[in-house]
Amino acid sequence: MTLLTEPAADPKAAIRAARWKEFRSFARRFFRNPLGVVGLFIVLVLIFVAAFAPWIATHDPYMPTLTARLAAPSAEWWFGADELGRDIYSRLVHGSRLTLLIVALVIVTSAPLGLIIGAVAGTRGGWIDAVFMRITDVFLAIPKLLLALAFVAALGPGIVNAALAITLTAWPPYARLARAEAMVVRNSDYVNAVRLAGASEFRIIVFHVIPMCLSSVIVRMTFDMAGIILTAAGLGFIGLGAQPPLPEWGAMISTGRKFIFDQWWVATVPGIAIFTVSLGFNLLGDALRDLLDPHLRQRK
Amino acid sequence: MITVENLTVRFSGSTAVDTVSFTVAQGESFGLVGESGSGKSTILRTMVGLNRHWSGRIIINGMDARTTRQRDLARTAQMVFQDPYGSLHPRYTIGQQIAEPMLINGIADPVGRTAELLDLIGLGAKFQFRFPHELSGGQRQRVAIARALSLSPRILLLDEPTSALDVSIQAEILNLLNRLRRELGLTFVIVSHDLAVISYMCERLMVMRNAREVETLTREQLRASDVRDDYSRQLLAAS
Repeated sequence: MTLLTEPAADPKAAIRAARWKEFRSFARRFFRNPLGVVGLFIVLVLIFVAAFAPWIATHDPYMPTLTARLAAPSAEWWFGADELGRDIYSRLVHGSRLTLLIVALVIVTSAPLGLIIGAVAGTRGGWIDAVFMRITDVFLAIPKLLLALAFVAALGPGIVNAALAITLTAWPPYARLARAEAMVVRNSDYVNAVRLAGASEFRIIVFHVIPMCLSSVIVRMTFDMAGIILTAAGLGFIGLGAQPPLPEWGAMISTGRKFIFDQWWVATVPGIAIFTVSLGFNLLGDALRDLLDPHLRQRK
Repeated sequence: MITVENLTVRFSGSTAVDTVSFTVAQGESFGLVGESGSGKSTILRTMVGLNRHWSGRIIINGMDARTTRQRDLARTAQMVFQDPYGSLHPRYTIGQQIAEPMLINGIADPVGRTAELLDLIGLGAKFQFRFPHELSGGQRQRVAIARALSLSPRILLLDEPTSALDVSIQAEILNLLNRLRRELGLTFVIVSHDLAVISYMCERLMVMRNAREVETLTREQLRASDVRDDYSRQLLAAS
């Protein structure tokens, strides 16, 4: 409170304090939703595991131990060993890095791309809107996996190419979302007020329209992360994502498929990992939507 | 100060403003009255450049509104919107919003001037670190007025500045506006459907109906019920 009564001292600190206060009230509302907390916990565990993978893993994820081929879960091999005798637990831990890498690559490329295209189209309207949205429609009309397949086939399999391929199919929904928000915001009085002050279209879009699109985009992003993980695993499963010997979860399921009746853990354990992480992102997304979605908020 | 000649505004088929003309002298307060849909808000929005498709002539302080750049116009005329809940950006603090026009126009010391403006409109500098949702409707409308004054305009266009507020707050805002007009020598154009507000605030007023001018009256004529047109008489009787 002292910061609020002595403003002129350091405006930057005071604005930071005001933002921090906003964030705290947001966090308080978030923690009232137990499922959202579970989702956040799963995501944080995933990040933690990925960050400290070499210390958390018990074995070298690439080191075959021929005597332990297809070993059942035990004290030595916590989740068993695969067909080359590699520790599945350690491969899972290292695989979390690949999963996060793909998710991060796709999100940092597709969300800003869609956001900018949508915000510009929605704010400017007219022929810019028509051109941008028809391009978006074209991308939406192509089956997701097919486009990704064609892209990977052209550029060669691999993690970065898989991420690029997913990006190519992931940005159009962001553009639509941002455009819908921008069309509401562009005629609002607070945007008119800065327009009257002589603000450039660039300034209006970047500082006044995009911040209002962000919350729906963030919500969509968290939901999308689950889908991205599944698509990446799908590409890995059909052999177009991460290449052996990388411990990508989808690729691990693919190799375990051959032994699913006798050594079920080889395919099941990475499957459970994909399931858990996707669920975590979905729960987190649900909780965030309850807090951030402007349409849900207005109905209250 | 303001000359509007034969202003006509059309929105895809319907005519919102039909050949309306009026002039406002420097330091005067001019009112536009009429029922909703009579085109009075559209006139204000067109004057500041929020409507593109219009015909006629608008001269503001010697500048032709059609050919003058928005930035030059911004330093002369600013607008206060009707709904204080919709006219402040929900993601920025009050101080940032008042400083924004000054940053856009490169005015020196926006932070210091923001504090001065907040004092001027009676909120105090401590409010600059609040977000709009922490403020009441009346406080928000004061902030909107401070933002409109941040470029030191000579003309303030007020679009139903009090209709979204409850009665006790209305009087406060109207008195604030009157004080600002005296102290800063401003020229007002006020749009309202409330004749009481207009007769309290304005020396002259124009009654509008169905996009057209009905008649122009002085405050004295209004108070003496000296009106010629039937519609104005109805309006007067209703209030």
